[in-house]
Amino acid sequence: MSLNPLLRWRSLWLSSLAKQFAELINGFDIEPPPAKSEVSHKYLAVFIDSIYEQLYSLAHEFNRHLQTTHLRISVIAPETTKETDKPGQPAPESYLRCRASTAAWSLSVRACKGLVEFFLVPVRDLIVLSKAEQDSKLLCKLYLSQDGMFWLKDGLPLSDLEIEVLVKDLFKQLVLAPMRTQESPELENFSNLKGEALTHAIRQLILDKQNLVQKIITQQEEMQKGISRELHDAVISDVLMVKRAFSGDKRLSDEELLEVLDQITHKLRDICHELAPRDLIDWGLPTVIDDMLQRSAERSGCDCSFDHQGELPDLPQAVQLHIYRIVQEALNNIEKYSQASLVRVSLTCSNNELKLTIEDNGQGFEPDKLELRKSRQGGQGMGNLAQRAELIRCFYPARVKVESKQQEGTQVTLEITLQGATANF
Amino acid sequence: MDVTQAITVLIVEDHQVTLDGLRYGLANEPGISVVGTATDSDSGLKLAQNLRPDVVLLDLHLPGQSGPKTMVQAYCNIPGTKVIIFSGEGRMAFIQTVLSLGVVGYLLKSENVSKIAETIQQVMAGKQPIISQELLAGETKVTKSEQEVLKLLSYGMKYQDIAEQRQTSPATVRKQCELLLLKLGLANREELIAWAVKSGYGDCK
Repeated sequence: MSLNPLLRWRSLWLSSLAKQFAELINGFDIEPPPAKSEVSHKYLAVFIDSIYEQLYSLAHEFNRHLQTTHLRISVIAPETTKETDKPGQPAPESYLRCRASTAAWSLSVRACKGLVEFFLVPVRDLIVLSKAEQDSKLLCKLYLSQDGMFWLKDGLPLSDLEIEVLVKDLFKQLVLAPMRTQESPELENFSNLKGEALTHAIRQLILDKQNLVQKIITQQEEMQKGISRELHDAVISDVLMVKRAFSGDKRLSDEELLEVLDQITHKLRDICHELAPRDLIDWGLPTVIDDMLQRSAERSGCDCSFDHQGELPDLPQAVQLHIYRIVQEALNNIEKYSQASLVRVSLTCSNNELKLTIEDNGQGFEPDKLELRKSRQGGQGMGNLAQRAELIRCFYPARVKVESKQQEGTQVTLEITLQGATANF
Repeated sequence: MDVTQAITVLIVEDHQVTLDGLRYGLANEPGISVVGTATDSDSGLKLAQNLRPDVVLLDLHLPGQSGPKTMVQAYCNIPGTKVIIFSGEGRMAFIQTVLSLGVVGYLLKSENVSKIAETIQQVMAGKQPIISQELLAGETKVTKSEQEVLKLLSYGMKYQDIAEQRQTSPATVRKQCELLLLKLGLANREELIAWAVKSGYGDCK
């Protein structure tokens, strides 16, 4: 990811601005919560400030490119507010806040005692904070690690770059917020009432479930179509050829016949392999990944190698399958697009962590242009990777990262924390 | 024929026609005596534990088993019994895993009976591992990454140095070399280096 000179200059300018803000914030009389040390509170202020800075630069950039009035974004500097009393809630806390707003929606960042929360709320709800910042509007939550050194998302520490990506993503959600389906207004009005809120939540859940079922069925149909197409194209024609060889006048020699049969076996096996990872259950991940890589090497002639270190723990079948699919997807992408000559896959397990990387030295891509390619070529590879990681998160905290530099290659990293963390925050 | 001297063989194979073919075929081979047959892995294992044959000829995919890996492991744990796999599975990654479990031979189902008999004689004479000729397709099946390893080997580099050069681990390099030995039908690292030099890998780039 490289900044263009203009952006770099702007970010320099912004960071000097940010410094001023940091001093301003430290000047604020924030009553430090008794349990937390002063250091972490200061750290929090600096952190919020950096998020503010990123939002600011994004908004600036965005406004510059899109001269439309209804999507103009303004950002308010960090400020400290006291939460108003809420019925049934413990004592009010002091929060550090900053916000980016479009005409109708606001991305509100709220921070306190080792916790930062991001909310996407309609601007009209902002006046009543307790109404605005409900769990249903929560986009993302970051915790401060025990030692106060890192911010954690889903139990995994975030690097600066990842925070930047995260903020960009949240910002994108803010910009796209008007496109989201409007929540039904009647229900929203009752959302403070427990019973109605519950009804709403249930309705929403049912709707989500229906959507999910729909999606699954569509995917199944797609898959079946795919199988039928492959059987038709690859196998039936070959079988018919064998049939002709026995009935027609142009007889094939035994060698030719054997070759055709070999081909059929090969194709059928490829189809099976693609579909049901029977091999995965029988042989386990390392062997199957090794095999995938060897086949890929045979097809592409790349220098492929597989590094496997540490004993793989007994993972749930579903998790193994998702990891398998991630490797499959990544290798597919490499074969299709990258023109790489070198592919490295490594699987490292320690008692607490599993790390999988798939690297190539191909032509890479600019992450921003990926969206473009997605729509142009109809692929959805990278999106699938993220979805798989999401599914692994049903079992363990997990994260997938795709890094790419043009002409230097792509690296896909999957990290799974195996113990000592709850599956979901 | 001196039965006491004959090599005792147990065949475990679920495909009846193949099983019959093997039984009659091997029965006609001198020095080999088929002492039992089974069509699923559990009864085969029991039989093997009771009969303690010299060699078990084992199909890789059998009904009534938890998975080929655990099954092969169980057969390999029988003391005094050598295991030869007889399977249609021709993919190297899987064969390597099976060999790492301690089997002494790996034959494809396309082999004829006399080759199987020959292999049984050879493993009893202590040669191992023996794998089907078809899998040792020689230089044509050497992949790009193996070519790189061969090149570095022919320069006289050690596993450690090769691993460093290729940004991988020594264990991976060792594994690749073991696979190369299998593919090329060579016995040890020295032979592999000699082969790499002779084949001109040292002259690349």
